[in-house]
Amino acid sequence: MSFINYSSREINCKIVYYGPGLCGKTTNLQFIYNKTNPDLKGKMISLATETERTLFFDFLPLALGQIRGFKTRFHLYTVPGQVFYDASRKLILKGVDGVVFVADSQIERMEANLESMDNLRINLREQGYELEKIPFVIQYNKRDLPNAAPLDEMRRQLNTMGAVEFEACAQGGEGVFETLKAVAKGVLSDLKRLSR
Amino acid sequence: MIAGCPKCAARYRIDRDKLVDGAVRLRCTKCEAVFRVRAPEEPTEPPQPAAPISAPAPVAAPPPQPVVAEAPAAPAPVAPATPTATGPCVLVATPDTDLAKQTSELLAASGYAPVVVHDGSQAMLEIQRKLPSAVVLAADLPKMFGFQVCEVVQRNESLNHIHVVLVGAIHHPDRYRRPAEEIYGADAYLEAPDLPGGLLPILEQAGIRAAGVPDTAAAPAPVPAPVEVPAPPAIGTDEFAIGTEPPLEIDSPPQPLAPAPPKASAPPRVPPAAAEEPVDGLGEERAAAERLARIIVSDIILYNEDKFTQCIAAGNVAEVLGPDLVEGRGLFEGRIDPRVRGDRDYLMDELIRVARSRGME
Repeated sequence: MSFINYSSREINCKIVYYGPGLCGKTTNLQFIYNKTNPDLKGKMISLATETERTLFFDFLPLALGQIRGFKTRFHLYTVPGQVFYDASRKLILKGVDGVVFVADSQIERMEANLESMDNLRINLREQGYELEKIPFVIQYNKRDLPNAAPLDEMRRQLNTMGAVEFEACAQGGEGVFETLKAVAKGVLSDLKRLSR
Repeated sequence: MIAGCPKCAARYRIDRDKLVDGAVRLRCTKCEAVFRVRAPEEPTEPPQPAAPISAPAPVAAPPPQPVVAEAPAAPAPVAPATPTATGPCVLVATPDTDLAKQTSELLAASGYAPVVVHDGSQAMLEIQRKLPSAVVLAADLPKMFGFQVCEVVQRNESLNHIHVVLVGAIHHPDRYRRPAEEIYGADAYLEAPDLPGGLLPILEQAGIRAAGVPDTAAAPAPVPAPVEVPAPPAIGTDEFAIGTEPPLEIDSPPQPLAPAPPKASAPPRVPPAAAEEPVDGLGEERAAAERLARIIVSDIILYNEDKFTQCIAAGNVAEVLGPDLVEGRGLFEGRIDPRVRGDRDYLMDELIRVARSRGME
C-alpha cells in the first residue's frame, strides 16, 4: 500500500524482489544501486550473513521522478530466499505495492522456483492480495549459464498468469533496469488509477 | 530369496520364513534406507521345471495397443505391455494426453509396444518395471521433470542403456553454449511439435527396430548385461522404495531384455501386479515429501557449497551438514503429512543421495 506524505509531497511505494535462494535478488539491487545517480538513491542496507547471503532483507530507497507534483520514492526490498525463512518473507511482503519474481534459470533450481512462486502466492493471499491483481514482473535470471532451462519451459511453468517478463543476467546488468522500470510503471499506473 | 536395496543396490538373502503375509520390511545396513520386500507371487499351476515357461499366449498379434499406466492410486490394472509379445517397448511420458495418444498410436502402428504415462514418478516406476528399449520424456512432466528422470536413468548402471529422447517445448540450440543433449544427458532431443513423426527415425538410428523390421546388424543393439537388480533412483517417490520389488526377479530365470526379442517362449518379466503398489493412497503425500526434501537440501547445499565439497571428500556429509538440516526439518514437519513423515528420514536420505551423486563413497 503506497504511503503518501502530503506535507513533504512524497509518495512512497514498496517493491519486493522475491525468488528462491541465490537467484540474484540482491545482485539486482546492487546493480541498481551502483548505476544510479547518487542524488536519487539513499543508503543501501543489507542484513546479510558473513558470506553475504541475505539474512533478513536488503533495502534501497530510490527516487523516480514526480507525479502531479509529488516525488515518487521507491523502496526496493529483497527477501531471504531460503525455503525455511518464510516468516521473514511474510513480514517483508506487508504493504507491498509491486513484486518482481527473480527466477533462477538453472535447471537444477526449477523446483525451487516453483516452490518460491507458490510461496509468494500463498503469502500474498494471507495479506489479502492476489498475484494477478498487483503489479508483477517475472525476471528469468542467469540466462547466460550453460545449464539454463529453455525459456519456453520456464515460461510455461512459472508465468501462468501472463505477467510481464524479462530475461536477465543480473551480474552484468542485462535486464535489471528493464525489470525495475516495468514494475515501477505498473505501480505508478495503479496509483494513478486509484487516485482518480 | 534375494532382494536388493532400492537405493544402493546392496543385495540380501532373505529367508522366506521371515516373511509376514508375504512381505518383510528391511533396513539396508549399507545405506540405512528402509524398504519393503515382497515374495514373488506363487504360480497358480505347479511350476514347470527349469525351462522356458511359455509366454502368455501370443494371441494372434494385432498391432499392440498402447497401454496407459494408471496412477498408483488407481486400482485399475496396469496392462502388461510386455515387450515380449511384439516389438520393443517404448515408454512415452508426457502430460499432454493428445500428444501421448498420437505418439503411441504411431508407435503401435509401426510395430513397437508403447506404454504411456503422464507424470515423472510413474515414468520412473514403469522404466524399472519394463526396462523399455527407449523412453520419450517430456521435459515438463509433473511430479518429476523429464530431465530429472533422464538424469536418474543415465546415472543408474542398470538403466543407462535405455535410449532417452527428451522432448522440450521448443528448442533453441543457438542459445546454448553446449548442445542440449549434453546439458540434459539425453541421447536425443526433440521438439514437441516434431514428436510423433520425428521419433521413428531416432529409434531407427539407435538400432531399436520395430517388430517385423529386419535387423540388419548381426548383433542386437547394445544391451546391458544381466538382469541386475535395477537400482531404483534416489530421486522420486517412495513407490520406488516401498512396494516395488525388482530384486525379486532374480529368482526368476534370466530374462532377455528388449530389444532382443524374444520368442514366444521367453518368460515374461514379472509384471508387478497393481496390488503391489502402495495401497495406502499416500503416493501424493510421499511425492510432496520428496519434493520438499529436494528443495530444502538443494538450498542447504547451495548456501554451504564449500563445506559440502569438503564433506564429500571426507565422506562425512551426514555428520557435518546434519545440523544444518535442523531448520529445514522444522519446515518439513510443519508441511508434510504426518502419515508419511515417519517412513524414513527424507532430508538425510536426499542429502546423502546428492553427496553420492557427486562422488562421495
